[in-house]
Amino acid sequence: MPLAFHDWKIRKKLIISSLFLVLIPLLVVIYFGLGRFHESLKKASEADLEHLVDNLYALCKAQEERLPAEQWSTADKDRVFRVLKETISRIKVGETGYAYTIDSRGVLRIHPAKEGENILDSTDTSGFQYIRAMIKAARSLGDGKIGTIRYPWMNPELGETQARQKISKFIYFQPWDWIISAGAYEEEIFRSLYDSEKYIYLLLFLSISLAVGLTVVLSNFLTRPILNLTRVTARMSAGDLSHRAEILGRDEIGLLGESFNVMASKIQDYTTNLENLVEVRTSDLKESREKYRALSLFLTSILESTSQYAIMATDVRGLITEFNKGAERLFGWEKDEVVGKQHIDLTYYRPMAGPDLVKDFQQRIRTEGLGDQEMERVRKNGSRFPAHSSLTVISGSSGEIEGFVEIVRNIAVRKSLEKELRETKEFLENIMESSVDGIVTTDLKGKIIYMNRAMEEMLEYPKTELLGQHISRIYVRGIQEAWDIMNLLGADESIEHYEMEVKSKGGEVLTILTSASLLRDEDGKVIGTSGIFKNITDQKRLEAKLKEAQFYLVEASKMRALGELVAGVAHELNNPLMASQTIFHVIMNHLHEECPNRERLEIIGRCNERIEKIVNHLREFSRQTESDFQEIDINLPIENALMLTGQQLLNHNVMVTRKLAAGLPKIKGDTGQLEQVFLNLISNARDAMENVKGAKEITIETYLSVEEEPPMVVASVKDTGEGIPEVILSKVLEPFFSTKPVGKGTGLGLSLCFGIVEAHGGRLKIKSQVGSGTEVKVLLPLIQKHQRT
Amino acid sequence: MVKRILIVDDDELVLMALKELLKSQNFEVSTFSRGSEALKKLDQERFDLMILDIVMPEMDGFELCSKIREKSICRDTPIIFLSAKNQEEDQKHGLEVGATLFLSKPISPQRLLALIGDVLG
Repeated sequence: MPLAFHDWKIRKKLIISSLFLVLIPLLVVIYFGLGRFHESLKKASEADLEHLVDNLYALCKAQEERLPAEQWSTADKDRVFRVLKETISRIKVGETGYAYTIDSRGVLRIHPAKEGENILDSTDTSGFQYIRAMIKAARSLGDGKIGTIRYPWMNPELGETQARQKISKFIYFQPWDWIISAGAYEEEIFRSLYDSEKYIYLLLFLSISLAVGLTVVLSNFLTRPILNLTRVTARMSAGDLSHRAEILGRDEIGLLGESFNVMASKIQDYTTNLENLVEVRTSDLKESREKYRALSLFLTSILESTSQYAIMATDVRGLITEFNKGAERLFGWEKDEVVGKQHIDLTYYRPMAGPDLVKDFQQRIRTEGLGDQEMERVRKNGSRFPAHSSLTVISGSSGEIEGFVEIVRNIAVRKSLEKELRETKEFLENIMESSVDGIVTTDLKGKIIYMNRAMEEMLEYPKTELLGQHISRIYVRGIQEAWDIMNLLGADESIEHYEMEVKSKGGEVLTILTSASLLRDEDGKVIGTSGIFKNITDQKRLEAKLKEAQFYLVEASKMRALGELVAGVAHELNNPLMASQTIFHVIMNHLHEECPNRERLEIIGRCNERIEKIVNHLREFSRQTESDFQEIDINLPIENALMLTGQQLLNHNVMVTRKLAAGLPKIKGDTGQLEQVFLNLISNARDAMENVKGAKEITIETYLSVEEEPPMVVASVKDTGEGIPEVILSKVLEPFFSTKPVGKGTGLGLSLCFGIVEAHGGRLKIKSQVGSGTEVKVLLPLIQKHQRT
Repeated sequence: MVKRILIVDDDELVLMALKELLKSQNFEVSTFSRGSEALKKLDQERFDLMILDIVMPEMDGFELCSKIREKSICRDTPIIFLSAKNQEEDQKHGLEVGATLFLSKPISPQRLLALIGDVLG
């Protein structure tokens, strides 16, 4: 069972690793060091043998040099042999080893036991002729060269039952044809070697035992505090908190132990207070669990109760993780069909063409965190509907996006309502825009918030210039008008046919008929005003013209009736007047020069003259016909009238200024009647300046007025007289109205002028200012070039 | 020889005044207030000058004038219209029916006499 190193106990780890560290070098030393030692010892032992044979060789050589063998006498020979034999037999190699000499024939020359024997053919225990091999080897090595031979040997004479390895060193001494040899059992030679080896192994064993022992002790010493700590921890975890770690020093483990003890104390403290704490915590937990349960219930009920809103959640890749009843109802999918199975994309509608709204939206939500969007969504059956979507990111604790929550609502009804509303709005706007009357709405402060095209055109302002401006800007009376209107609206809620004036951009003053009302919101709160502005400027102008025309018509018909009356009166007066004048004439012709009644009768005569003058005037007045109208220059009757009155005006110190335009268009008229008109006007002007102290001036001017429609020829007679008070001005055309003293005017002068001008299709205009003078304009129509007769 | 003048006018005052004026100038004057009476008289007598008014009841001056002109003896007798009418068409009408002169009232006695003098030659 292979056990991972990590799972071993620390002590085991220490011991095993230490052993490895100690034993491996030791074994390496033993392996290499002991081998060498053994080898060198062996060599030293062998060297002893070699040294021995070499010494014997030297001895033999010395004998030979001293006296060569040829010169030996027997005595010499004996002595030499004796010396040699004594030396050789003294030599002991090990317990049983010895030296000997042998000649090349195999005869032992000096030997402890078998001197003189030929042992050439002797064999070792394996049958090898070791003597022969040695002799051959020695001779082939040559003189003085040491050789070695090993062979197994058993000496039964000595009671040996087992062959042992024997080693022999030999050297060849040529002068004597001797082979000097020394041999011994290897075990004997190497005994000391083996003895030292025994000591070494013993020493090794002791060292290893010591190393192992020390390692174990050290490991125990090192791991004891840890084990102690472990034991204490185990006890503490078993519930016994009274134990503390034993502190044995200030090393890391000691520090750890101290920290552990502090911790243990704290734990003990905590444990002591745990009961209270647990109680408190338990109630807290209970409470928060209640809250959580309530909240969870609340959320679930929200999620499930709303069938109007689809509430869905997805993970970050869009896989649907929540799908409420509303979503089921809205999209037609069952919760089980989609949750964990379907991607939210299947509810999106992505048209092939156009911008990818969905992608943009999702991108936006990823960066902004939340947002909403209106877009089309798809049901299970493939049908689409407009939807409003609120999308929110669910973020993890470190801010990364974990998913999305989406609330979707079907806005088809709202959309159709919006469409309807828009159409209604457009419809109403079309109506407002096509209205010929101006329509304006303002807010409470009076700022213009809407105006239609008619208003724009009426005021000649572009809409943009007035929107946001105060409404009073267009009123001629300014802010006062706005206040007045607001006061009326405040009192009556609405006003109708309120007449006022506005000014256009160009400064033209327009008369407006306004109908206005207050605008209220659904709560009835006033939010502004709306007004319809009807431009009645033209209508007003027409009305004024009509009034004028009416006035003329009335005047003319009055004149006609009067003309008839006057004609009748004149006619009736004619006869008695003529009778009176005739009789007066007859009487005067027959009256005596000195008759006292003559002067009295003269008065009657003057009465007759006055009556005649009146009657003539009346007749002229009633004689207003077109009987003799011709193409004439307006200047002609004026010249005539001036000619007739010239002297008279000079007499009255009146200066006449003539500004008669040349080449005026011709008019159709009666020179005599028009002359009468100008005579009357000049005479009126003259009379008006009768009592004036300053310069008396009559200006007579003719010109063509294109301001009139159609254009007219105008003859103006202007004086610097007293002027006519306004109250009288309207009466001056009335027949018999005169400001002159009785007898001076008939009151028919201007009426007559009016009648004549009227008969010419013209008009009279009188403008006067008290103190500065009066101007009477005679307007006469031109002859139309293609006029039908 | 005294010239005889016939005057027809519906106004008594006018007749009386003209009679006084003309008599004072030595004319013999016959006055009538109705045209029919004047016509009867003309059947019996001859006159040198006739002065007629226009506006009269029964028969107006124009009718009277035409009827007078129908009488052969009166064909060349000068006839003066003396009327309050002064309209041109009246004048025109008067001359058409045979009047010698058309005068409008009122007219000064001097002028009337001068014109009568002219007409009578």
